Formats: sequence, C-alpha cells, structure tokens
Amino acid sequence: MSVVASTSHEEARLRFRVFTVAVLALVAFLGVRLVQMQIVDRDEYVTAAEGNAIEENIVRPARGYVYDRNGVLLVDNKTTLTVTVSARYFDRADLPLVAELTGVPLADLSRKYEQILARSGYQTAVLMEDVPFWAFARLKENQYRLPGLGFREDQQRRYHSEARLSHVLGYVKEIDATRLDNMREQGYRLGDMIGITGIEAEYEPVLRGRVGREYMLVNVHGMEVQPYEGGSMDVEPESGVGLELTIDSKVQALAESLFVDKRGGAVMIDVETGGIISMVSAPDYDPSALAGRMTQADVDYLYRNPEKPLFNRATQANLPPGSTWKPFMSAVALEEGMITEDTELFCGGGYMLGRFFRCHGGAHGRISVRRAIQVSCNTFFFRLMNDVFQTPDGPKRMDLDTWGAWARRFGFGTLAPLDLPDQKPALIPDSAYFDQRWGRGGWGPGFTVNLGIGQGNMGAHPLQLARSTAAIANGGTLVTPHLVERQIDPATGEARRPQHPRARRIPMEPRNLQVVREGMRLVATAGTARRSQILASRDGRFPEIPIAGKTGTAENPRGKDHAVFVAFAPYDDPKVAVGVIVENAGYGSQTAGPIASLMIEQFLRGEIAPERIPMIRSVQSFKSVGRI
Amino acid sequence: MIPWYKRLDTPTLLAWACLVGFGLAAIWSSTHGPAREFLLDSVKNNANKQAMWAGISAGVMLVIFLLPARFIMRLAPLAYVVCLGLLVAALAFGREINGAKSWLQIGGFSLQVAELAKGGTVLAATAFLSRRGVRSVEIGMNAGYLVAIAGLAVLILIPCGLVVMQNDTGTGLVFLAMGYFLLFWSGLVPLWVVGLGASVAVAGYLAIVNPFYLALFILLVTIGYSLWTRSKLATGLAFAATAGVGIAARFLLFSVLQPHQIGRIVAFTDPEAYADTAGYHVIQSKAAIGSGGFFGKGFTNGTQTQLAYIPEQSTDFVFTIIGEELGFIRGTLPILLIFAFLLIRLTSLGTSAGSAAPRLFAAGVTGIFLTHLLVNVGMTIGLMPVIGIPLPFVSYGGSALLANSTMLAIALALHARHDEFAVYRAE
Repeated sequence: MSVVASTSHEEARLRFRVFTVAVLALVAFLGVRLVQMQIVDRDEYVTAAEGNAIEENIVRPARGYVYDRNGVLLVDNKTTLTVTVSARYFDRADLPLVAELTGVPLADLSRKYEQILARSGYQTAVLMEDVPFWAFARLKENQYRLPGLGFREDQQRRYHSEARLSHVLGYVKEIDATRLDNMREQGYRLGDMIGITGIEAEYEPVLRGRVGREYMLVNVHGMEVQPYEGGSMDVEPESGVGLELTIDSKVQALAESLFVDKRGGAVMIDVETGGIISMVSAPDYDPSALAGRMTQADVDYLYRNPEKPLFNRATQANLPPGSTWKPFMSAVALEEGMITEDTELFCGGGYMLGRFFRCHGGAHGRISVRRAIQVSCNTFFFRLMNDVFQTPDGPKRMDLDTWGAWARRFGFGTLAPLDLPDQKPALIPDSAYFDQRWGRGGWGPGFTVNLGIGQGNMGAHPLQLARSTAAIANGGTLVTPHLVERQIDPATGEARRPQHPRARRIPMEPRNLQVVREGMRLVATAGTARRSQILASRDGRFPEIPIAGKTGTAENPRGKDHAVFVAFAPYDDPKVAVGVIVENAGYGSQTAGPIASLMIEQFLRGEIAPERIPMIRSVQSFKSVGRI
Repeated sequence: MIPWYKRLDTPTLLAWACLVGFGLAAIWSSTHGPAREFLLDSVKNNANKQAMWAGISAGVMLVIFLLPARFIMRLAPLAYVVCLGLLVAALAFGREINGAKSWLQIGGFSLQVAELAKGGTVLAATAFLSRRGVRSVEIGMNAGYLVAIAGLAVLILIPCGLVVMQNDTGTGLVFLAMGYFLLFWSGLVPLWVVGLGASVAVAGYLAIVNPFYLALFILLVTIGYSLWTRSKLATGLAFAATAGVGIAARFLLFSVLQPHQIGRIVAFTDPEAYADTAGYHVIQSKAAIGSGGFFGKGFTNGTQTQLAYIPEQSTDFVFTIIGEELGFIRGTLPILLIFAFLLIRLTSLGTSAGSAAPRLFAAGVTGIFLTHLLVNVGMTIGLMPVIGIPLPFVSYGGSALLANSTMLAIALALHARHDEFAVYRAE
C-alpha cells in the first residue's frame, strides 16, 4: 500500500490529538515535580536556602585594658579597618587591582594570599590590617568587581605609657595554625588575635572577653547584605576584663632609660606582697610595632638579632650572681650553726685548695660575718663552703646538696609561681649535675668551692635575686612574685583580686637574717655600694632613704665581667627589694648599683633629687661591650 | 471573506503578553531587591532593556501581521540564507559569552544569532515541506521520497551543525527536536516511526536517570508496539532502538566520557554528589523553587534570588525567581498552564487552517517552544541536565524574545491569512 505524504483531514486531527496528549503529559510531568518540591518537601528546601544565605559572624569583643599600679592607662585598643578575603569567592587575578587601589606592593599581597591559601581555601581570612581610610574607601567603591573581598572593624592594641614594658605586657598577634588547631573549641577563628607572650598570653582568657555572634544575610559573593531577622538573634560580645598591674610605670620608664645600650635585666619587687614594681629586660622591643603591620626591619630586629630582644633576661637569664650570693651564704652558715654572728675566720689574702683562690682587697685578717659581707671577703666564703666547723651537733661541713636545698628555699634553681609564661629556673647544681658533667668521682671540692662566692657552675636571674633579697629583708618570707594586682570588670567597674599562690616561709631564725641585713647595710654605708646611697636631698625636701645591698661582679670567661647588684630599702623598714644584672659592664658598683639606687628613689620619693640627675647620665653612658 | 485581523487569535496574544509580563516582573525583582547595590550597572537596567525589547518585538509582530502570507513564505529562502550567513559570521567574528561563541555585535546590539536561526530554519523547512512536489511523494523507497527526507535533513542539519560548532549544544538539540516535530506533522513518516523517535528519546533519558526504569521502559515499549502495530518488524525495531540507545547511552556515560562531562550530564540525578561542580546550579535552583512553597516568599523577598545564589538567574534560570518569590499557585503553575495553552492553541490554529504551510510552521514553532519549556523548566527542578537554553518569552534576552515573538507572529499571521494560500496551492 502506498501512502501519499500529504495528510488527510482525519490524519491531521489524529496527530493533533496525539500532540495534545503529549504536551499535557509533559506539562504534567513538570507540574507533579513542582507539587512535590513546592508543597510536599518545601521545608527541606527552606532549610537549604537558609543555610545558604545566613552567615554566623563572630563579633570580637574589645580586649581588656591594662593599667599600672596607680591607675595610669598603659594599653587600650584603637579601631582599625581590616580587609578580609574569602578565597573561595576571590579571584587571584584581582590582586593587582587591590594592590593598585591600596598602594600596597603586589608582591606583599601575593605572599600574604599564599599564606592564607595554605591555611584554608574556605574560611575568611585577613588580607590587610590597619588599612588607612582612603584605601578602604577606594576598595569599597570597587567591591562589586572584587568578589570575595570583605571589610571588618578590628581592634588593635594601642600603647600609651612611655614605659615600653615589652617583656611584661608581651604582645598579641593573629593566631597561627598550630594554636588555632588547639584552641578552636574555645571559639577562636582564623584571623583572631591572641596574646603570644607576657601578660597578654598569661591572661588571654580574661583579657579576650566573650565573643558575640551576629547573623547576616550573605549573598553569593560572600557580601553581607542585611541583618537576618533584623538582628534579633544576635548575641552581644562582652568586653575583656581590665588588668591593674603592680608595675609603677614611672619607675619602669626610668629603669628602661637606664638600660640604654646595655644587655641585662632588673626586677624591683614589693617585699611584703611580692608585687613586681618594675621588670626590665634589655634590649627590648616596641610592642606597638608588633600590634600592627610588621615591616621587614621589625622582623629582622625581633627574630634575627643576636641579642634576642624577645628573650626576657629578667626571668630567663642564667648568670652567676657573683658576690651578691654572699648574704645568702652567710644566712645559711648561721642557720646551719657553722658560725655565729661573732665567729671570726682568718683571711690571709686567699684560700689554698689545689690552687690559690685569691681574695680581692688583700688580706683581711680575722674577720666576722658582717664585715665579711661589707668588704666582700672571698676567703671567708670559701671557708664556709669547704672548711669543717665545730657545731653543737658535732663537726659539720657544707654539703653540696644541703647548699642546693637552701638555694631552692630562697627561690634559686626553681620556677617562681609567676604570672608570666616565660621563665627559666637557672642553674643550682647538685652532685648529680657534677657527676654527669665530670663523671662520678671526677670532681672534688676544687670544683664546688667557687659556689661559695656565687661563681662557677651556677646561675640566677634578676627576679630570683630580687625575690631572695626580699626574703632577707622581710625576715624570711619567700613572697610570690606577681604582675596583676586587680582585675576590673569593664561593665560594672568592680575589682577582683586574682588568687596568687601563698607566700612560703623559709625555716630560718629571724635573728640570722638580721645579721645579714646589718652586713648589707654596711656595704652601703662603708663598703662597695657607697655610691648607691640615697642621702637626704640638698633642698631638704626628702630625708635619707637608708638602703642595704650587695655588689657583685660575675666573672665572665668569654668577655667583660657582668655587674650585679641586690638591694633593699628602707633598711629599717624594708618596702622594696631590687635585683640588677648588667652584662659585660664591669663592676657592680658602677652601673648595677646606681640603677637599683635610682629605681628605689623614684619609687619611694616619686622623683629623683636634682643633685642625682647626673647619676642618670653617668649610668646611661655605660655600654655593654662586645657581643654575646 | 473574513478579514485577516478578525481571524488574528487574541487568546494567543494574551498568553504572549502574560509570559512577557512574568518575565519582566522576574527580571525587575532580581535587579531591584536588596542586592541591587552589588550588581553591575549594566545589569541594573536589565528590566528596562527587556521592556524595550518587548516593545520592539510587538512592533515587529505588527509589521508581520500586515504582510501577505505568500510574501512571508517567499521570504523563506532569503531568511534561511541570511541566518546561515549570520551563524557563519558569529563563528568567525562572534563574541564568546559563557563559553558559547554565538553572539554577534551589530551596532550597539549584541545579537544571539542562534535564536534567529531557529526562526529562519523553521520557515525554510515549512516552505520546503509545503511544496507540492514534496507533499505528493509516495512513502517508500523512491527517489522523490528520499529527496524529501534528505532535503529536510540538510535544511536542519546545516544550521544545527553551525550552532553546535559555536559550542551551543543546547540550541543544537532544539534544532533536532524541531526537525522531529516537522517530520511528525509533515506526514512523511508513519505514526509508529514517530513513536519510535519519542521512545528512543525517553530511553536515552532513562538511561541517565535509572537503569531499572530503562529496562522497564524497554519492556513496555516492546509490548506496546507488538499490541499496537501487530508487526514483527515494528516491534523488533522498537526493541532494538530503545535497548540499543539505552545501552549505548550507559556505555557512553561510564566508559567513554571524561568525569567532568559525565558530571554535567548526570549531576541532576544526584546534585549533592557534584555539589562543587555541575551540581551547584541544580542545588541552588531547587532550593529556590522548593523554598518558595505554595504562595512564594513575596515579590523581591526571595533570599536565593536576591542574594544571587542562582547563576544566570534572569536568563536561563528565570523560572527560579518566579518559583521562589511567587510560589506554586501564583507563579509556576500559571506559567505551565499558559505554556500548555499556547502550545495546544498554536497547533490547533495551524491544523484548522487547512493548508500545509500554517500547520507545518505552527508545528515547528510549537516543537521549539515545547523543547525549550521541557529542558529549561526541567533543568531548574532537577529533572533535566543543566543545558543552557532560555524559557521562551520569559527569560532575559533581547534576541530570543524578538526571535520567539517573530515566530509566534508568523504562525498567527499564516493562520489569519490562510485564505491566501488557496491561490498558492493552485499553482
């Protein structure tokens, strides 16, 4: 049967019906699906759509302020503009435009962007900090063609005091990958600032405050369009707690100025409370440089400088205390009953033990403990370390481990319960140490006799010197050093004292310490620290501040000796104790003593008497020589 | 004799106006909501530009209504040649947008020539199939029949090939569908062959969606053909064609294509698995339409739309704006119903005209519109792969609106002036 292509009327009607059914079937196919999506499963899709568009933002609280003991503002925050980037929306081909708009070198931006990508390709991260307003305005104008770029107001630490307090305050920095991994559960996010050292690190949980949350409708480019539900779901952040330090910023500023061109450290401590009035480590650094954008010069200075400005010499040094060790030795010998305050030992100008250990200042003849401290007689202390003494309990000789146990009771060789993260115990050797170093039986009294005068295989740092001196001054209480006096609630102004560990009692007869204090007073009035006395001011406004102290010179086989000084004042009613070490600066009486003297005067008088101003210049003119 | 303007079909023109109105509203919403400040300046004016194109389209439609029907048909070869020329020009000098080199810059306008080419091709194919010589060929293995089939094939495959070369596969598919519908209406092939074509298309689709459904479908088609045609040849062909295409499609999917190509095709069946690549559009688009619910979120209140989560939202994904902001009852259902009405009405007008040219032209045009509707809406609701072709009259795009309106006008004009074909027929 042959059929002609031209369709008949019936044929056309049939095809029309088929076509109509096909159209209706296909439209129904679409319609059923729409019923299922828009009516049956609607909730599921609503969840998906909201999950898309609603973004939870962490609102960073203002970090807690820091004040000194007199309420002087040391650190607060300034608001800065931060440019963030979401790598998932950002096209790196736009980096040249960003560089052009902000004037930041493209190489810097590219490097920063690489770092961000290495950490996370999804989370929003900081591209530029502390952007000047004109650059912010230009970026904002061009935001539509820079998808993935965002803006945020941030807080940056702002430092007010002329005292830098670098090692006390520490600094804050953007959290790094390792810390972030450990602290994510505490609500830290990429781009958060976190305290790295100093009290910024130690008090991070209270300084940080509580983060708030806000919910925003976000478009596909990651731009926030408007608050979700008018902001009714948002949670306000709570500002961080303010800290009032025990630091006196005036004393601190003076002490820092005295340490120019020097290496070393100094600590002044309240002999009753243990509050640290001043803590200096030189060289130091400018915390505000670390708070913002760091230049290459900053990086070089902080991390490549052989003098290690980040190293806190006040709590981490390990230098022999030299003759400042003698008050401690005296107290121990008295307490152990090896000598009484009147026992006289003979100095013939030195001490023979395998070789001749010279006593400086010639032969002192028969000498008792107060005078031995006053003239710093080495022979006397060699004998205390090595001779056998008759005591009521029979013959007795200083044993290395007894010596070490007393040193630890005075806070040496141990970590103090201090509210700073960076601290080292310094070296107080025991027999195990010598066994390990020289072999069992490979060492003898000749190796340890030096310890009697604070030389040889031992070390201490200014905090330990100040703390042990405070124990001598207050009659045997080993105070707990601390930096934070009060925590201040920023909303209510309520103050709270943080719980510092209790002070410890050193089991020692107060009378024995009184003898040592008398010896130390003689050092100031008629010994090596006469220059460091604080006499009545010539204008008659201030009476004398009687000080007691001990100079020391730590022998340094690799260079010029280190100058050491410990002191407390006033002698008759001790308030403060000081420990000072100036590296490679010769005798303790030349630099370390005047530094302690000036710090004490500034704290107790609130100013420096005019006739003592030249002393500041004289100290400042000294330099630590050579390299470390 | 009834004058042509009284025969002009008002309901179809109303449907046209409704669809254009929906489109303008959706485009306006996507450019005047809270996200407006983040849009490019050129995009902010899209609603105005589309309104201007709607005006131009209305003008062109009016001009077409004024032209004699035979004159329109005589223009067919010229229109066809011009369209081919434009396609070649676009390939040579065209601008590439979204990976397809199908835009030609003429004066201040960007013309998407593939859209115009559809109109030119359907007009030419209609003219060819309405020739007396073609209409009177005997179906069977004779020279006249083979020339008719080959002629139609050549007319359609040349522009189709050029469009595919422009990397616009979606529009290429539309040309094939147009050819299929013309074959269906021309009478050049018997109904069971036409059915075979539809079965093969469904088999290919099911091969992507679910092999179990594919097996079931092959079985049903085979049984159906055996009952309907009672011919072993037709039944065997139906089985061989559906099974062959189904198996070939699955073989292609799992053995030949690269993963990213597979992803583009199968992502709609499991968009979450391709969420980072080809599934993204589907997830966002479904979230928008589904979350719109029964009444919609309200004009300019759709978060997916206003926050720009849907790429190409006012062009290929314009249906998502309507679905999200107007919902089922005010948006998506009316659109489907208007399209169903428009398609059936156009074919009905063509059929009732009684002569070949109006019927075949209406067939080609409805074929184009139906394919666009199915693929475009299907893609936004996760029933079809993401093939970027616009929703006729609704999507943003001047060339498409103009071309579609012109085709609609010619179909209406051929119907209204079908009396004029009496003379034409007597030639």
